[in-house]
Amino acid sequence: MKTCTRCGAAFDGEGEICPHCRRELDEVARWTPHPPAADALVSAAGAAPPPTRPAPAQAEADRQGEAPPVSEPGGDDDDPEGVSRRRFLTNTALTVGGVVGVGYLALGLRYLFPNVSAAATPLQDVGPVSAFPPMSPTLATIVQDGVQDGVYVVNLSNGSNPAPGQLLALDFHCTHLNCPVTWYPGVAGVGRYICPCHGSQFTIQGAHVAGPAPRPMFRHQVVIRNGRVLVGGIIS
Amino acid sequence: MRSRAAPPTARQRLVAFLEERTSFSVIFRALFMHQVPGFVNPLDYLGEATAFVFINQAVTGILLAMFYNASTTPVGHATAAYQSIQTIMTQVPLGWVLRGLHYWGANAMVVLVFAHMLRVFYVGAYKKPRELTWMFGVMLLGVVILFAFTGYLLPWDQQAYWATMVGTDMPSYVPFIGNWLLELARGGAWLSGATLTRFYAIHMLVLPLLLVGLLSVHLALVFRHGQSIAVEAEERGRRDERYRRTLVDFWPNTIAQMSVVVLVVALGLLLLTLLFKAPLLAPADPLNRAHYQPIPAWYFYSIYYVLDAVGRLFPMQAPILSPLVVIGLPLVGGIALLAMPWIDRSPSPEPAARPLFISGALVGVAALLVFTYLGNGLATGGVSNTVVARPSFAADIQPILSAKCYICHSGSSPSGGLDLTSYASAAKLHIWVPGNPQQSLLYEKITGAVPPRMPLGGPYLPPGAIQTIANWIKEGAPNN
Repeated sequence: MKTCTRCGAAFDGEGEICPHCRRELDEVARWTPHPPAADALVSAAGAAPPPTRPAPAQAEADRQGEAPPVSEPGGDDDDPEGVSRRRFLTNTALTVGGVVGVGYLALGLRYLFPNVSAAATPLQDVGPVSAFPPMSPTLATIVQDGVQDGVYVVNLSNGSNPAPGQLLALDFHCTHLNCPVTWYPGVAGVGRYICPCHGSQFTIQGAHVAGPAPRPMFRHQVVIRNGRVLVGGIIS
Repeated sequence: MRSRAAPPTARQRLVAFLEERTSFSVIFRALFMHQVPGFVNPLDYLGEATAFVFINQAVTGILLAMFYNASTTPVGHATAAYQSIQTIMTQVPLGWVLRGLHYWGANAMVVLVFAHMLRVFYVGAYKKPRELTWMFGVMLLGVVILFAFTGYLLPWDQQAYWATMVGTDMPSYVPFIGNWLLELARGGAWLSGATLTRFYAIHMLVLPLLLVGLLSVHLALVFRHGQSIAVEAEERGRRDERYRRTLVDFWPNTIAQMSVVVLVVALGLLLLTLLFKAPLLAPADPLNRAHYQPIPAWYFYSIYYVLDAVGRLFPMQAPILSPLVVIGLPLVGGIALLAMPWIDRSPSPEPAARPLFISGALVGVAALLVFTYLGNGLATGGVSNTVVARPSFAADIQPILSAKCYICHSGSSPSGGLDLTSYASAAKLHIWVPGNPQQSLLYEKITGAVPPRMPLGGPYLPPGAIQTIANWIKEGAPNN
């Protein structure tokens, strides 16, 4: 067992000072702008009484003006206690700044993020079922967010009484970069939706057959109620 | 008799009053009191010209905002936004001039900021210690592009609406968060009044603040390190007494030259405004009943062309390559620009000492110009509108077919079984009756006499090109 020359605590191991004091002095070295060599700190600490917390005798000496002045707590980089206080204050300021900043950011993002679920667009009447002849995609209009949106309503049945699943509502924005596609009957023998921008082509059911589009056309919710066709938001 | 000093004039008293309270002469001396070469390459004023155009944008933008109404509420056959631009253009005194200055200023800004960057690149002025000045400049380029993009939508005409529809869809290709970015940009699934309001707020509030912040740092760094040209002059002046005597004071010599630059740019903008009225197309039609073909602003023509070329050259791989073009290309380009001071590690800024980078940049700029030119052709139909009286198949007809028809009517399974790639293959199809255009399916298709009109989906051939084809058939449709 040895006695630490810095704090007076008993310890085991190498050197003159205890591990606790060594850690503290290393920290001083790390936070000092021009750190003196760690060894110099150690030897200084070992040679002289600790400069912090003046002992009563030391305080007495201070009053008589015989000892070097002791810095204000936290005011001097050479003061190990003060540095940790400094660090605490720095961390506090950074944390408060970070938390408040992240708070505003999260608030802003949530505020700006729109509600685009299918439920956000109510079902809208686009006409009687008879307005959509078999195998002949017809452009209908719904209103989304106050702006008109084009939807091709496709009756895949043979007559004017399509079963559920035989009526499709395909959004007319190409899935490549959202240019408006047009239905051209007779192209490739069966008709195609063709995009004027980069030539993507889709089958009557909206499947992608040519061009750069990465996926089939977007499908809107569609239901038949009392002989009327109702179109809602995008479901796939 | 002792002469008495004249009492200080009012101006001297004012200067003394301000000096005592602000020490402004310190700042003034630091900014303006240094020496520069008597002759300065006009290209070194590009940054200053850009800064002046920004002031032009701020002044005219604030004035436009006094009349502009960012609303998609229907007014007549259009929206409130469109009608307010219409009002500015036709009823507000000098409104068309202000919008013209803003419109041409926006275009000039893109050109000038890019030219400024090229000049800085050429003289290697991004090298130590000016790396951060360069990086802030690259960020400012990004802000300028965002300014152009958000401002483009505001008139809410066909071009604005559809170009923005396409532009805001591009972020959707970003992995994982793509759709989220798209909805954040649009404020919904598609363009709507929410998009317009959002873009207006970004254009009017977010970007100006961002630009002023970045520009402050950019300029502070410019002054911190001195213009590279002034620093070099000073160093050379220290060694060379004769050279030193040719140097002039920045204030007022350079300032006077800068005022000439301001005058030239201002007159240029005014001239463009008076000669070419800022355009306003038909009101945006979200249903696109007139089959308008979306085209981007001219500064995006290059990427527009590359995207189109990828689709034509690699039709099967297009769905994979397309995102690489719209996301990968700008991302890689942006990172490369930001990191340029560390990519180009040659110790000398002299262009002759950096042949690899100078030639690389030349190739890049040449590619950009060529793609922009080709994109322009694509956007305007890519076909000459000049009527050829006695057309040659090889020189006049085939280029039209190649530009407008091959995309479908070529390859192993041409659309409708109609292969137009050679005279021989097309002649077999009986799509023309030599001497009689009106009876020829080719003519009927390009005029729309037999629907669907070709090229399918548009844009259709310009009238001059249609007449050229008619003349060729009238001449007997020769293979000449």
